[in-house]
Amino acid sequence: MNKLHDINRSRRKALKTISKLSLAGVAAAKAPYVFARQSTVLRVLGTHVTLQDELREQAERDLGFSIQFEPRGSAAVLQKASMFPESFDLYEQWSDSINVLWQAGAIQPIEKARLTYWNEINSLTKTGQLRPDAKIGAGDAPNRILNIQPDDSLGSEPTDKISFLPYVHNVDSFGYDTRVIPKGVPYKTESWGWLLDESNRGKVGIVNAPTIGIFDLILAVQAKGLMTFNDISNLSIDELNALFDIIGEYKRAGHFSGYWTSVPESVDFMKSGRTTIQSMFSPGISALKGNGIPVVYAAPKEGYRGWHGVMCLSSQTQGRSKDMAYDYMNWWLSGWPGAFIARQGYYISNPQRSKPLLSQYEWDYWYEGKPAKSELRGTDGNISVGKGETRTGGSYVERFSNVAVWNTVMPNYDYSLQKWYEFIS
Amino acid sequence: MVNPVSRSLGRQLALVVIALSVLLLAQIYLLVSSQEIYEDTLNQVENANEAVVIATELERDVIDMQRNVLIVKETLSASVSERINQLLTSIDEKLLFLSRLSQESSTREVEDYITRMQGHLNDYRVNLQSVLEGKRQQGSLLNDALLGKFDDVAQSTELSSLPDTLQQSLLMHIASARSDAMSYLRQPAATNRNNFKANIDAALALVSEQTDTLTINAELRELQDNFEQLNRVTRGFSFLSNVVMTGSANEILYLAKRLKDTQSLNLESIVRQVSVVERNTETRLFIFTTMILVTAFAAVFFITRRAIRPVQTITSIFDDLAQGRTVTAIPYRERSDEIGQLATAADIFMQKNELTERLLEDSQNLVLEQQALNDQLDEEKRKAIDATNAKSLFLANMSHEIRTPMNGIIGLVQILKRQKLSDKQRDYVDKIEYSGKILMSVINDILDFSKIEAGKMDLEIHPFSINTILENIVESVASQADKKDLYMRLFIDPAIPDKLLGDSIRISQILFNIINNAIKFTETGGIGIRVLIERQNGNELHLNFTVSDTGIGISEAAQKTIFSSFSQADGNSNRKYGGTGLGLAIVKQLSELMGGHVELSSQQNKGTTVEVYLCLKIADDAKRFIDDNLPISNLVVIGEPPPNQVLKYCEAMRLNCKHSGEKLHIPELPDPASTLVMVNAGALITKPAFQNYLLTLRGITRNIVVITEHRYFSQLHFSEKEFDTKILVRPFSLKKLHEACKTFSKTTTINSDIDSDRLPKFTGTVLLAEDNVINQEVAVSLLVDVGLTVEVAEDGQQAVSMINDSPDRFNLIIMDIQMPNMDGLTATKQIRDAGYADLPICGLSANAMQEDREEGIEAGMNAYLIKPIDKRELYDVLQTLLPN
Repeated sequence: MNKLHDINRSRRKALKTISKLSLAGVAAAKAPYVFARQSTVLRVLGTHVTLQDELREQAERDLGFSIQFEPRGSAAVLQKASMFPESFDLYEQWSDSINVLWQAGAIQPIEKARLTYWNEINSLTKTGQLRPDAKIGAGDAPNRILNIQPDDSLGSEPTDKISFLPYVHNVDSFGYDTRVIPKGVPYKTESWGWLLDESNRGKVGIVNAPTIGIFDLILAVQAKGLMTFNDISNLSIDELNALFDIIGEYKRAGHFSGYWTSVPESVDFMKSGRTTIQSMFSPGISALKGNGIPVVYAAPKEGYRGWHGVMCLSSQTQGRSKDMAYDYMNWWLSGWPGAFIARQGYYISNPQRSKPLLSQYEWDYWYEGKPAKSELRGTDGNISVGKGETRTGGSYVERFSNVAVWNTVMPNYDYSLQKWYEFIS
Repeated sequence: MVNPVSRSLGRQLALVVIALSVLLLAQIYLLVSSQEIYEDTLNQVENANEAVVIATELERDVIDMQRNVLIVKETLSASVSERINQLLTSIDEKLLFLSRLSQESSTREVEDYITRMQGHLNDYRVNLQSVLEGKRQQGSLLNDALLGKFDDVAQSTELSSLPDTLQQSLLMHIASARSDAMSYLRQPAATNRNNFKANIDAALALVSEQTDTLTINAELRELQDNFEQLNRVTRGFSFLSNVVMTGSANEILYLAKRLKDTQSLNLESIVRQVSVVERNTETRLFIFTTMILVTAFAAVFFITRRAIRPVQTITSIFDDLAQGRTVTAIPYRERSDEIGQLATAADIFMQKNELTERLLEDSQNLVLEQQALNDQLDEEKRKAIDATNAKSLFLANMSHEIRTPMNGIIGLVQILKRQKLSDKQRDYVDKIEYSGKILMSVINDILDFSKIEAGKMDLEIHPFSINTILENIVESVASQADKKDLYMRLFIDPAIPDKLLGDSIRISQILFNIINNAIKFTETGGIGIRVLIERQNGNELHLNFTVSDTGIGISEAAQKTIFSSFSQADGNSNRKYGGTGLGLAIVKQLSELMGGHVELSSQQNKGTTVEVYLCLKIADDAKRFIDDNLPISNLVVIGEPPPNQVLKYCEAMRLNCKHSGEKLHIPELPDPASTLVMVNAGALITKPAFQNYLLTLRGITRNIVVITEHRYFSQLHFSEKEFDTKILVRPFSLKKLHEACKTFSKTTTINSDIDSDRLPKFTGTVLLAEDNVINQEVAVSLLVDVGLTVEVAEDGQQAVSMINDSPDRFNLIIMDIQMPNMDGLTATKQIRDAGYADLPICGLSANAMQEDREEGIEAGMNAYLIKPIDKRELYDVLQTLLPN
């Protein structure tokens, strides 16, 4: 009996080896970066925005090692990352996390030298502007937090070490159901103030993230002329008090119907009719449109709320995992992921590498801001862009030249937490 | 159009009933199902209500929980923490309960809410732990890592070793930093943090210029780190509790509300559904009820019109018919159902009614006719009875009227024959006698025939002997046969007992007629008579009497009518052979009267055979007359060989029979004492020759019997007297032979059978009561011949007087029945009444009826004689009644 068992075992082992080798062979034929299969798993902590299964599967195929995604709500993710850096290898979120994480010592510097496509990365992260006349926007613009300064602070002076990999970025605004709210004119009539319009009372949703949602509210209040701010990315205690008093009134009047914590939740809010206008992330917009809901991602005349995705390396990740992490980072800028997320409306830091993988119509719509010459499908297979539609806000460059504020952890963030609690409870 | 349904009212009714039943059943079903719906709805409503209640309680719990978290975040109170746990558990339970409820009512929406709520609750629970942990960390950090550190630095020896101003500045910065930290803790404003940093930086700057401040340096940096860590920790749990947990709680509340709304909507829709169902049910019930009512009414209407009304109509029609009122037309006949049948029946009834009336009329008429006919019939019957009675009376009278003169004639002729007459006179007297006899026989035939035809012939059953009858008949026709030179053979089956029960006179009559005919119509040859047993049933003997002759025969045509009355075989035969032609008819009548039948077969010129079948009972005391102890055991026959009959007789008597020889000779006799010698003296031999022979024969045996024909009897008669032989005349019966054998053991005295010439002798006085002179003479003559004294009375009256006058004088009265003045019966009665019981009285009458005989005996007579008086019978009576 034992002999049989041994034979089986050896056979299994052989099969495993054969499969490994064949896989390896296949992998070798395919992607440029192929390594022998490792038993180490690359753990990526992040949000639904970038931790999508298709990306993971493609990455595993291309890179040849197992990747484990842990998507959570942005708040929870930040929380976990800052408190338990040993629980991840790579952290994907946006720039407002950087300061928190850096200050918490949860992340380690990334060496530019190990990034294959550093030179292809456009000027947005390096200078903060895609074109000379572009508004740089208040708050944590990517260039301001990218470089690790000699004094260990994060600044815009270029150094060899950066705090994050520039990859996915976009400008956010609010989405509105055109069945209820008449379609506006981008940059002209669409305004952050709509969030506080009486007509929308009881149907307004805000993202439950103090470093993001607060800016929606600040911009709305400012757009409504209810208050002025010194620096919208750095509110004083008094300003915070005043802001939340105003917002508090709206809240007590039942203005806000919900505070969503994840993209699926945001889709559900509008799909179920709980909200007709709310903070939105781009994939949420695509999903809603794919479900046949005529939602428009506004291009507010006050400007966008920009964000820059950050891929950070855990301070606890070393050795083999660190290598895998660099592989993954480089893979993200290798072209396919950029094309993938482009169909969800995101931009990549080196778009030219992804351009060949998009159809002309897709490139024209998503990057050039031209009308779609045909229906375009999203990554879920549903039609997310109708024929003739134009991307609100126009082209990549145009949009990013109109950033009002970047997602930021303002100095009085901790105080704002208190006020936030009062706002949402 | 006739379909099976319209053919029967019953079926139509059944259809209606079925329809009603179906409707009713549908109604019931509706009610039941709506009942079920109500029940189900009630259930659902209950569920929904309960869900709402639970959801409300859940909301309350969540709010309470949030409140408590707020408190515990500040105070870390154990009791509050406990309360929070309780609330978590309670919410969990409620969610489970709701989940179960939702499963029952199966709303996916609600299930979805509950699942999400459970998810949020789990997150909440987990985060709460982190928050509490964070808070604890914050606490310890604050006390140990921060405040403690401040004290350490402030009180450090290094510090004290520093110059005062420096010390002061340092202490001031440290104090400021401490205050900044505390301020920050109170209100995490960035300014406070910045100030803290600034103060620490300043302190560090001051220290860095000095030496021996390594500890302070390190500690200051540590303070900075710790402050940062404290911030981080605080930020961490604050974020969790303020943002994440609150978010979860918010969601739970939102979903609870949604659940309640859904349930309310559900309730509303249920209620709406129910009301719709209710309305539907009502409508349907209403419809069904209406339908039922309509159907019921229709049914009633239908029954009335189709069934009740017609029935009433037809009932009245029947009534009319029953009462006999005329009915013109019967309705509904054309219908094919029960009413139609009823109408048809009524029609038939009506027709039958009419028919019945007609029949009644007819039958009444018939009755009248019948009555008339009956009356006629009665009349005719009376006439017929009268006729019959007249006939019978006529017969009786005639019988008497005819027999009486005949009696006279024959009697007188007999007397005359005894007188001395010349030859011519004797010849004439013979002829008169012969004619008289013929006439008598014809009269007897006619009277017998009439009697039988009138049904007045009665059979008198007495014991008799076949042998005796046949012997007598044979004897009476023997001379006639002799004259024609015909032979006669007779065989009686020895197994036939000698005593049988029957009417011997009538049987004799039958046999005599047949045998007589046979002799009459045979010219050459002879006749054979046989009596055989057909079969025997107990004591009933079925006998076959066969008489065959070699006569002229009867033609086929004649055979058909031979037994009819008054017919003879040949119209001419009457002239040749005489006779009335009634003989065979009487034979047929008599044999049939006795329960038998007669058959005839014949061939012209060859012969005729007549067979009579009779069934006779054996008499109780009949016994074999054959004696088993016969002295004779051998028979030796001399002369003609013995015929078959004789051989058979020998067999019956168990005699050894031997034929010794044809010529007269003396046989050898081994045992003379037991041997009988039979001499067949067929041919005529001379007297002397025969005498010689007999003498010689006598020498060796005394047992000799001579057999001869009738014609030779007188010639051989001497052998009896002289040689003491027996003579038997052919044909002789077994009985005769048997008797002959028997006598040879006794003393050989000459047998004294009464010879027809020997007269008995009597003494006494006889009173003869007879009104007819001729009859008187006849009777007196007879009586005187036997030595009696006779006195005559003219009628019954005279007889009575004579007896009364001298009763002892007479030994016997012979009383004629039919006499004027007083008849014989009355006279007899009177004599007996007078007390003369011992005086023998013998009746005398022409009436041969049994009733008359009985009447006589009843009247008191001792005996009865029929006219014409038979000598032998008379002598028997005399023998019996006279004293000696």
